[in-house]
Amino acid sequence: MSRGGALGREESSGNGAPSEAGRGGTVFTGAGFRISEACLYSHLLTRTTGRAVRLGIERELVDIAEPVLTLVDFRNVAIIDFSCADEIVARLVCDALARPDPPLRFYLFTGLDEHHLDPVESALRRRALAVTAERADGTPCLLGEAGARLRTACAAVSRLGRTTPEGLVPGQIPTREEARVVLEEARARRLLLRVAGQYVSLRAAACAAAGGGER
Amino acid sequence: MLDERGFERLVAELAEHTGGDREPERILFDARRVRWTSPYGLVGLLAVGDVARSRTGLAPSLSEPEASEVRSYWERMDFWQNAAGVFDLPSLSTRSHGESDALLELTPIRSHHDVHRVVERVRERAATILERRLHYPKPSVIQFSVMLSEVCQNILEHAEGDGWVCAQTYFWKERLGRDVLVLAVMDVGQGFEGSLAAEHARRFGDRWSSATALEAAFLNGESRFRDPGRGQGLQAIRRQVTRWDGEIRIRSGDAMIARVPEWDDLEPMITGLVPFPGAQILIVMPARIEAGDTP
Repeated sequence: MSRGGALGREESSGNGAPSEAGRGGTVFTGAGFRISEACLYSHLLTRTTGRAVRLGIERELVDIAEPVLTLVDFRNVAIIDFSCADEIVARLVCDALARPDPPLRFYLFTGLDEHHLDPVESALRRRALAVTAERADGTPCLLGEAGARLRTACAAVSRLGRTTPEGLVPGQIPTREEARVVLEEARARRLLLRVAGQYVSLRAAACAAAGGGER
Repeated sequence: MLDERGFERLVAELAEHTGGDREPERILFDARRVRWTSPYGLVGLLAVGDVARSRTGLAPSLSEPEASEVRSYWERMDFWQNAAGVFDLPSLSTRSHGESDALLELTPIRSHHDVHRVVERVRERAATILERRLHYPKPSVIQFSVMLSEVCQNILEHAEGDGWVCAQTYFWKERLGRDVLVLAVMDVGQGFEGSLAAEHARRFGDRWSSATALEAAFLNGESRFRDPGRGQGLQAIRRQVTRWDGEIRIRSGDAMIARVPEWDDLEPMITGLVPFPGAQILIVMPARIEAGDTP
């Protein structure tokens, strides 16, 4: 299921100049971005199951021309093994990063319980990836491989909902340029969106799209 | 005793009877004098029987144990149902039994559906055994299920053949003075050396062997795939077993690698074993010593 985003347009890098010839430029022509929801089911065991789940999620997005933020809900997942976590979480992000051109794909993993963390963390770290996630009680967290500065920046954006590089200086990051670099890294790794010159947490984007305000 | 040592004896005798230019002949496994069987021994008997069958082209015979406790254990563990596809058992194949006290009876693993079934099957029993008997914390039930899933998937992903799993809890009076959960998983497929060869053998050159293949997979998380997401299952199992102060040993080809806890004096790497196909995994999880307990 997907619905249109109401926050604005997720911007691509390159300041509007075409990044690759023949691909129609880097400013999306679609209407902002979309929200998609994927509710995972109870027993996520084996690589075969994980592959089927991932392909199901990706199939839902295949014809969507705009950037999509998919909320992947773990609340009903009673058990997930390492192979399944790799096939679902790590491969979803891997595939999103590997897309050669827009539309961009973002994932926010929600409802994670204690017993989901080890398989998900382990799968992400093996591929040097990170994801934005939320614990079952709604607490935001960054899972996987990320340096201290990236974690600091993402935590700040998560707390603020949206910000500019200046918004992180000097409390979180020493200089504006360093803040811009780390926020761009976060965006390139699909940990947040950039909308109208602001960096927006995935949760804030989802809430705005739902018309429910930001947390 | 049909346990780890008993398995090694069977493997050695099988090699003796099927080596060289011998004419293939039907092999008889004489279990009449078996007085005790561990889960590893029971799965091992099936594995050795299966290899005997493939080496000779003839289904081996099996005489049943005389000791009633051993016979009863084999029946409760569903041995005969599984043995019917391996051994020539005209009169033994229809046996049934009442409720078993095993955590997991002998179960074949042929597809990912079997892995789901196995995990589902142990769920309630594992909760009772891990919490009440081994005094493990509540999350250990899920951790055990995840470990079970990964160890069974190892068969599907790497063996390219069928395998079996079974688990039982019992009291290790002499070795540990505590209850233990023993999990045995075996296949008779290509083994670690064969599975990893295409991707890793060249790098090791002359040193490539069952032992180096086991080290690559068990210690370094290598797999036969280039995909970095592969190979984490065994690593995760090793970490979990370590957290529980347990032991894991993996025998493959002519070598065995182990994570050895302080309570055992096993060598972490043994080479020069009699070659045997596939991989044979033994996991031992001891009861937790709670404050005030005397081991």
